Amino acid sequence: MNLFLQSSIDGLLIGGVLIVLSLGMSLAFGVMRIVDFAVGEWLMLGAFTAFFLNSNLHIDPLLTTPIVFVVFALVGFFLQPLIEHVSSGKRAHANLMGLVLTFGISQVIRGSSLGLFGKDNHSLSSALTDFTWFFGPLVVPGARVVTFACGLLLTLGFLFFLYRTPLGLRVRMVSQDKASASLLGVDSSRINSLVYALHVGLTAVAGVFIGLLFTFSPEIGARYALYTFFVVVLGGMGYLPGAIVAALVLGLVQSYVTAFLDSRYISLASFIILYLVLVISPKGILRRGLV
Amino acid sequence: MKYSTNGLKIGLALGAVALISSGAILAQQGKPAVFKVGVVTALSGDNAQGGATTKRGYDLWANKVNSQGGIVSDGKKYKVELVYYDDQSSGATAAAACERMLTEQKLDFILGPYASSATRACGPIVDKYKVPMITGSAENPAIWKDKYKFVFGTIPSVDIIGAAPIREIAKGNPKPQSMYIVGLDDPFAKAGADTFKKLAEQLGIKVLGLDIVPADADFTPVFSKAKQANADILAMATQPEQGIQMMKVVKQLRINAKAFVQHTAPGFADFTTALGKDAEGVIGATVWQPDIEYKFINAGAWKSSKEWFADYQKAYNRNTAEYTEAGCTAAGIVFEVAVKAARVKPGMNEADRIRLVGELEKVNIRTFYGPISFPTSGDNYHDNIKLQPLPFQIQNGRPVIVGAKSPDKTRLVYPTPAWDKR
Repeated sequence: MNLFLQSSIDGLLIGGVLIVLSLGMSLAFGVMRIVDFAVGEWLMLGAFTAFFLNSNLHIDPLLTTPIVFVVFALVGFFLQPLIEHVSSGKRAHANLMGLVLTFGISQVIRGSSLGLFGKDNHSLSSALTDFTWFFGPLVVPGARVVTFACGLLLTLGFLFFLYRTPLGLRVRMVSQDKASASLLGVDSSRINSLVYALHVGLTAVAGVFIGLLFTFSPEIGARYALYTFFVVVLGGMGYLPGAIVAALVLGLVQSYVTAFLDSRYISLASFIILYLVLVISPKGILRRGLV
Repeated sequence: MKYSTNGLKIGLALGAVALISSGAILAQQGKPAVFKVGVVTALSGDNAQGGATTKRGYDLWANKVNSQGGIVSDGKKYKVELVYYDDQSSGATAAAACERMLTEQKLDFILGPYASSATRACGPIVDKYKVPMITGSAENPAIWKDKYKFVFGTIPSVDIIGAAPIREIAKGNPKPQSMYIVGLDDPFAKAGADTFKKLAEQLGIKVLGLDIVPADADFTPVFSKAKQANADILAMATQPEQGIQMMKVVKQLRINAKAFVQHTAPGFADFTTALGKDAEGVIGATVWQPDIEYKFINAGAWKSSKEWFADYQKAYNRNTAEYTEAGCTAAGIVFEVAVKAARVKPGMNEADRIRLVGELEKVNIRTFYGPISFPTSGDNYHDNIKLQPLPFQIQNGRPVIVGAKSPDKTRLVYPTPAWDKR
């Protein structure tokens, strides 16, 4: 029983970080209809930015998250028109071109980072997370609790923005029907820039959390891109509540399989679940995603 | 008479290609002969950091040799040219890269990969093309049991090296009674985990659990299990990146084992820089450190570890060198010695390379890195097992050799203080 409870705690806590990672990607797909292959690289750059702010300005990594969010949101805001130019319009296979462009961006970032940052592994540590809670035999690491709590706050804030603000309403309008939204006076290009900015900003912040919990180097992008795609597809492409549920499911699956079977079956178990969900419900786990 | 425009364009293009190619060929013919050395290692992917250590070791050797005029053979000096191919941290890609390298380039010999999986993948290929390869890195004992004629290694296998820290801890007071082992799901780490298990059983230490985990897994669940087991020794067979992650999780979960053992992360510089004081007390295994000096050195440009380390620091601006880096430089030194003995020249044919392998098998030298020779039979076929495995511990932010073979008689700190007492 203790092992089950501990595994549940471990799985939910890591699921919280995966939520932050996948929310932006899910929204970006829902609104812009592009899959951002650079998602792993934004995460990596977010971790490195926090690292440099911590090393040079001695800012606690957790406290760098607002700076990281703003910096990368701006990057995303100014990059998005290029992606839109490539992935829309009259060119053939426009969506595919967008995918190729984001893949190219990811490779440029990865290659440049290898040259700039080297190949050593780095880690972030925060005085604000250096504690552990004990509840009898159950252990709750501070780093996991804090990143989960921050992830939860970000998620709630994000959902509040999306569902309770006029700007969020416009985002949802463009997501549902771009043409009709344009007829109602919504500037979809501007909305796309905002959405991509949010996606890149959130993903970079997830990178700070990853740096606090694990390690990072210029090579980690592909690994987290895979997790993100998994969560977004399982949750239903473009459906945010689905991404939240899928992230928690992935966290729990990893944890339970490790505790009760063998860690080497994590990928097998995860992809069996994904396969079954998509066979039964191609729109994702909550049956509301875009097909 | 009208000429086809397309035909004219094609003709001009072909002419340009011919001109450039002949220019390149002429340029090559004008260049002095060099030993062309292929290197296949992890320049990208999960093992990129390990690949970088091999590259530093190999480059340091090549640059030193070239600065002194080159390798001596039959009274002449020939410089070396390293040609790198990326195995992308995958055994399958290593095999493809090795095959491509051997068919595209006319190589004299090869310096081998970082990872055991890549080395095993290259083994049948170098044997097929009969080009000798020495790796300064891979430690999986299975490589040597494969008995590839053209594959050699300067580092003893992990079943030899990995035993050192366990033997040292077993002498501790109180004597450890139990061990929990976590190993990565890769050939090297699994061999390391197996070494820990076998030795623990031999020493009467009960193994409470052995978990093999994928390198990209979240380690918290498996270490939660380990915490519940409450073993005296927590032994981790891992790679550099995951070694850091594992210690982070160990601290987050406040696992208070009497000893933490890791092979091979603690020897890498980023282990202590990433973990800071959380690295204190972790015990590892090595066969060389910059403060180990050998006498009667009779091969290679460096007459002491101090000399090599000074060159290393100057070249790379790094303050810690790991034994893999030294082992890779030593691989180059071994080739120097064998080339000189075989009296071969650049552009070796198959007969030359077979003769070179014969000389490699006769190598029996002492370098700054230590003694090197290659058995020609048994389970450690072509693996240099002359080096002594040594336990070290992170003390005051540095890896220091501990126990009877410590140069300054440093003792093992055991048991490791609990996390809330540090």
